[in-house]
Amino acid sequence: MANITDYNARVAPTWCPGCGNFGILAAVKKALLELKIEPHNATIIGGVGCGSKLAYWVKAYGFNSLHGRQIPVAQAVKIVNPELEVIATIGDGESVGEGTNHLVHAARRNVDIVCVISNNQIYGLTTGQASPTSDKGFVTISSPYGTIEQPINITALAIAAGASFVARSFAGDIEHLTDMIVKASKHKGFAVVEVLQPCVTFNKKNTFDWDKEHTYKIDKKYKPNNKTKAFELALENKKLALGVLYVEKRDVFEKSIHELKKAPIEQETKVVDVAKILEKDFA
Amino acid sequence: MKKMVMNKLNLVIGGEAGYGIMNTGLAFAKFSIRNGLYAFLSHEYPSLVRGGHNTSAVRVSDSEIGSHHDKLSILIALNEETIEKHYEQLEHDGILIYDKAEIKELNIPAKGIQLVDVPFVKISTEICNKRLLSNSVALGATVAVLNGELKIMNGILKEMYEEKGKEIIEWNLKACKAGYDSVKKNFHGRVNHEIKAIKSAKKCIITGNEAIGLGALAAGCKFHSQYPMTPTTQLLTFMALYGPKNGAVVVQPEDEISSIHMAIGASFAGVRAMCATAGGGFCLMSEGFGLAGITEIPIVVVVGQRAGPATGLPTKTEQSDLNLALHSGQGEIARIVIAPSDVEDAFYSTIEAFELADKFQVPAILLPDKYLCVNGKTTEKISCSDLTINRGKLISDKQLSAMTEFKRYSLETEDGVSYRSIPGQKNGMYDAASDEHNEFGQIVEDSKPRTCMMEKRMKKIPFILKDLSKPELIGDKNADITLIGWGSTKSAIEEAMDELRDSANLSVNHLHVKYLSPFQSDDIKNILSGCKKIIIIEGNYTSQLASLIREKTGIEIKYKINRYDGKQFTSHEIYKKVMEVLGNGISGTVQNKSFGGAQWQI
Repeated sequence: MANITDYNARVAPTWCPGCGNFGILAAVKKALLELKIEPHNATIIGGVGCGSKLAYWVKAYGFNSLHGRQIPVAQAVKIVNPELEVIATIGDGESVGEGTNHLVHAARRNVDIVCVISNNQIYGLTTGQASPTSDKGFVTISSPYGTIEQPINITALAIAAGASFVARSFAGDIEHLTDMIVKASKHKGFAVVEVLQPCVTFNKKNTFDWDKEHTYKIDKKYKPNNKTKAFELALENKKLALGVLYVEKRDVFEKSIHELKKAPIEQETKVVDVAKILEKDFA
Repeated sequence: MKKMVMNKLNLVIGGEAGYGIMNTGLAFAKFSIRNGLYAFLSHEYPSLVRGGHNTSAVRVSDSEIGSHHDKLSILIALNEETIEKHYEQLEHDGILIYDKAEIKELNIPAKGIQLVDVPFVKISTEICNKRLLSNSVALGATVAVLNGELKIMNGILKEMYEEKGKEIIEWNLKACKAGYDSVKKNFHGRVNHEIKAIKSAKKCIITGNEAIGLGALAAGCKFHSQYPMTPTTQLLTFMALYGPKNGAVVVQPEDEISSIHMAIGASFAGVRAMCATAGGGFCLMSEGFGLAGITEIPIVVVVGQRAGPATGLPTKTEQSDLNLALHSGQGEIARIVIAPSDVEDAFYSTIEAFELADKFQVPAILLPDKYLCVNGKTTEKISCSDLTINRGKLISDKQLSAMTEFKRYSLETEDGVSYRSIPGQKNGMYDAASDEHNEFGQIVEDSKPRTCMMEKRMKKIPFILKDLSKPELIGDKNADITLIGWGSTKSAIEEAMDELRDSANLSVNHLHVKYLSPFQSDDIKNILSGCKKIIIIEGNYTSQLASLIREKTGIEIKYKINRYDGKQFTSHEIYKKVMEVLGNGISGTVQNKSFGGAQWQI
């Protein structure tokens, strides 16, 4: 495996020109290259949404699940074959709308996967409805008088739910995002990277410029090992903090499962003679 | 005077939840099988953790049995409600074992019933200061009434309470002996049933849930995800306990949607995977089921039926999710639906479901019901000695290395099944897509690729059909009456046929339908075209199987026996209903009394 073009899919993405997802795509490929992961050892699990369909445009094993359902699929893939690099790509509508339950429980479960959440604060694929992360009062075709609900803070939710690695980045800063994905991958456990991703077609408010003006990079001196501090950082909403907010060392789910503590699942399928079970407990 | 009956009886123990009713039933069932006999164990319980009315019934015989009867030889009442609700079921000279001190007033006509007063509560409190040993006292008393071997029951109690520690074991053994001694000392009535050990092959008793779990493990299932829901919760318990030591990872996920998606992910990553739920949970899995279909990833889904709709009667049985199993999920996919009839069938059908799912890369549903799931049937027929595993078209590394590009969803197949790679295999990369896709798995929206891919997936159906064992008409093919059934009513229907022959001199045959999808339209049409009067028996309101038969064969079944009160037909009830149908003439609508309601349909 020599260079980044090894990860190029057969077809080009169907995103709008200038879409923030191009930045995420580039960062994912760069991260895989940096981590020296062969295309056939990477599995990207996407869903239904502009950004989450990323799997189609990376040369690797891909799975595009139903809207918001990639996280359960991704966890199971990793449990069955921990040798794979498993990255779930998911949007804001999917991660904190349709699939919130899965995000929260994945955080408690701590399977060793990377979860890249592209947050464009709108529903792009379905042409412009409000999202659970849209700013309050945001006018869209489904909220012509402005949204009423308070937006969800993805990073704060991930920390509160117990994710053992939480970072935030920006699709316009490919270098930073690549670094976050590499760190997320190296982290042993469920790693969330929220990515501010401008939707150039439907979100005229949270643009590249708006994102640049409303974010700042976390100081190098910041130690991400204090949950309360991380939470405070996550809640900052005048300017959003970019970088690694929180890391904790915690046992990984698939290595804690009773029968997988010693070795991963046997890949060969054989008949199991259950006669002993019958004789011992059911006679 | 009634003749003494050896090794054939029907017993019910009843009481409040929290008093170990189910375990007591199981203990007595095990007692029977360790005497070399067959036991059928059935439970009725409300959706409560404490209180309510719970019963376990044990029907014992020296030959194979697969359903319960209503007439009782012995009724063990741990509370007054049990007596009120069940005394009418006792046969003449039947035995009521109860604690007289606990009953305010015995308001039953005792004539014809032998009353056996055993001080459950007094004995229990003398041993441990609590009432909780009442059931073990009752077990000892029952063994005595049947002139059975106490030490066999002792062995069972020791095993049952092994994990609770020495003191609890001692208490229960003491309680059992005290109950036994009490009867031996004080009961001077007529013993009209006895249990005497007979030499026979070693037997075990398992429930449908356990049979499915055993089948899954035997078939090499390595991943099971399940959110608890009656009536398949016991499958989760079984898999969680036995899975780890037998190669399977078991996950209890946050909801049913996660459950099916995890199973799909696990299967995508290369192992045999299963998930389980009940009708309501399967509703949540609908879209995921279609996902497995369009991505052509094999999974096995266990859907346990219970009385609906919505929460319905959570702990009662019904056969009303056939339509759900056949049609759930938007759009159209090839699917397998198998309804097992008893525990052996559940074991082997589970293995068959994994084999077919792998071979054809389709999702497969196992469709039992509460009656099958939680009741115990004695079996000697479960064996793994002839089992083989065939994972279907999994492409090898060698085959992949010889290719320039790999088309996971290649259209060049005879049977619609293309080779499948597993993540991690070099050169095997593809996208498993929920969107319509091309041969590489990439999104397409144009007519031609969509049409071709749809046809690829759907043309599997006739090939699956070829692999299914043919339906059989059991009995004389020229019989006057044909009974049709599916699922767990099979055994009761077979016994009803005996009664119809013996008591009413009728000629009857029986078509049991096991494969609901793909449906064996031609075979069933051929069979039914030669039948005379056809009566279908279903535990639902709308006669879902009758509708399916009409849809697939054009044959309209005029005579239907339905029930939807949460209970299962006994063979005698089927006999009576068939006689009612026949007694009301051959054609036209028939008004019959329903189970608990005013009328039912024909």
